[in-house]
Amino acid sequence: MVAREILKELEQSGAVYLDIRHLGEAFIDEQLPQERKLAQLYENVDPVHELIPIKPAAHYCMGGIEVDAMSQTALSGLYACGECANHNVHGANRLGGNSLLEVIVFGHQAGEYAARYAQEHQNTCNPNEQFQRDKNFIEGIKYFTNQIDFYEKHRFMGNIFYNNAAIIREDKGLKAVLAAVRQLQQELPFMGPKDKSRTYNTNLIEFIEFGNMVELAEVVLVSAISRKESRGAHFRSDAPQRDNERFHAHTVAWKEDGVLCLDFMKGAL
Amino acid sequence: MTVEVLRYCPAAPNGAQKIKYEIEANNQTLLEVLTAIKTEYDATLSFNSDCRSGVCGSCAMRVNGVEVLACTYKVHDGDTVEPLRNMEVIRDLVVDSDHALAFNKKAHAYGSVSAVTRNVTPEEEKVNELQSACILCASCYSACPVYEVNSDFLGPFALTRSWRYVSDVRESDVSDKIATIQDNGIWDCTLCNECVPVCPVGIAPKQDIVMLRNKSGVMGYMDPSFSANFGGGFGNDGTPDFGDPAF
Repeated sequence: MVAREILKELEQSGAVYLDIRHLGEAFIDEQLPQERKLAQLYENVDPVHELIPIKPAAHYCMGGIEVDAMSQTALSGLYACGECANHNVHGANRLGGNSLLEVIVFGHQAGEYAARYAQEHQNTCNPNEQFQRDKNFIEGIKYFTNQIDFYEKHRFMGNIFYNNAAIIREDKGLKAVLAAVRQLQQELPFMGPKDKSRTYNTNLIEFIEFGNMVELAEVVLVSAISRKESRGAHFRSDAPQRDNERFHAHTVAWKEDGVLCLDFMKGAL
Repeated sequence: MTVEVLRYCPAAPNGAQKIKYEIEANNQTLLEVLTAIKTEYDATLSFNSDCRSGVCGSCAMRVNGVEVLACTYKVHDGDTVEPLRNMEVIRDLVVDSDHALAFNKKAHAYGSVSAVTRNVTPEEEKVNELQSACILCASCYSACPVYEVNSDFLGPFALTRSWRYVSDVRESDVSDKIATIQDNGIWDCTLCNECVPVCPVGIAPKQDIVMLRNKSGVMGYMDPSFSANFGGGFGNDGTPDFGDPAF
């Protein structure tokens, strides 16, 4: 709600500020020292005496890898916790400060169960189908043509997501972004890392991450298009009301033979 | 403006080389500049980074010989960028920090199994709040001159972390932690202060080492070089033993 109003005002007047001057220097230094430091360093603004320019941004990912009551993923022996996992505790709008609580509770739990699993199982590394696929991908990368710069496409993705799939969404814009993402998936073999070194190749890592990004982007977009309602951080200008009858549920996505599947799991609540 | 980066790749035959980059920068952080070089000119430039806001500690490196976080340092014309010292360089600005981080374990710088579970008051939390804020960037480790003579020195951040636990009100028995830091530890520090100004969160490891020395003194330990100078240290009656006089 606040983010949407900030965005509207930004579009109208071009600037929105946060004013914390009334809190006083002593309180700011005690309770908000990092915020003061960041404002000084990156905006050249001292919030004790000046206004802080602000803009909405993604700072947390709701949902994540599906886990069971022991923090185990669908892959036995692989555990997930924190922001990457979906422990069904937040719903559509994680409130400030609660992600720390989540990582303390489930981080502890996942660590304990993972340690127990490692003790009970001799060979914890079973080369599965996905492992083979990833290996083939790395092998195949040297044949990628590098005609398209993936860093440039990464920036492009950021822009079209921020403008069409972030704070205010609607069917047409989401579908246009989906088309662009599917195009990027097709173009991946024409991109690739320029660095061919086998030593600490961060260019390769960033390319692999970009590949993961365009794969996950499709899941986010298809989920957002299917959820024709507004709830928490998901706001659809073409469906501004909450629709409990159809969508009071978690969206669960998975792949079958490479095809993306989606369902609303009421039981997950 | 011009920025020089000391680049190294184990596969390259010529060893480390300083490479000059002409860049357009105006009030930009070093991390922004390095990222621009990597994504626009030379994808092989290697460095670590993560949070981009001075919180995670992964982009520590040296500029003109002084340790900084690339994400909080504003670039100046003529800057020379190098990897951290006292660690093996893997590639360009990436170093192997495993050896450094292992000192936390060697110093037993973690919560003990015997620690009691009880509420900690805000005042008690303040005692080691600053030391708890260490982001393990290893800037202090890189600045420490002791490693030139003793590669087994536990080092500034591990000793600060040791003090963070020794001063924790929940630690009921710190005798093991204090015993662990006697050799290659608190007495090997020269109190030169090099580690203090380079800490991005304002920790003073030297002060924490002095605190650990005081605590050790109270628990019956003493500076081995001091006792060596005094021959046999103190006699049974508490008076210094200067050894047999030599004529």
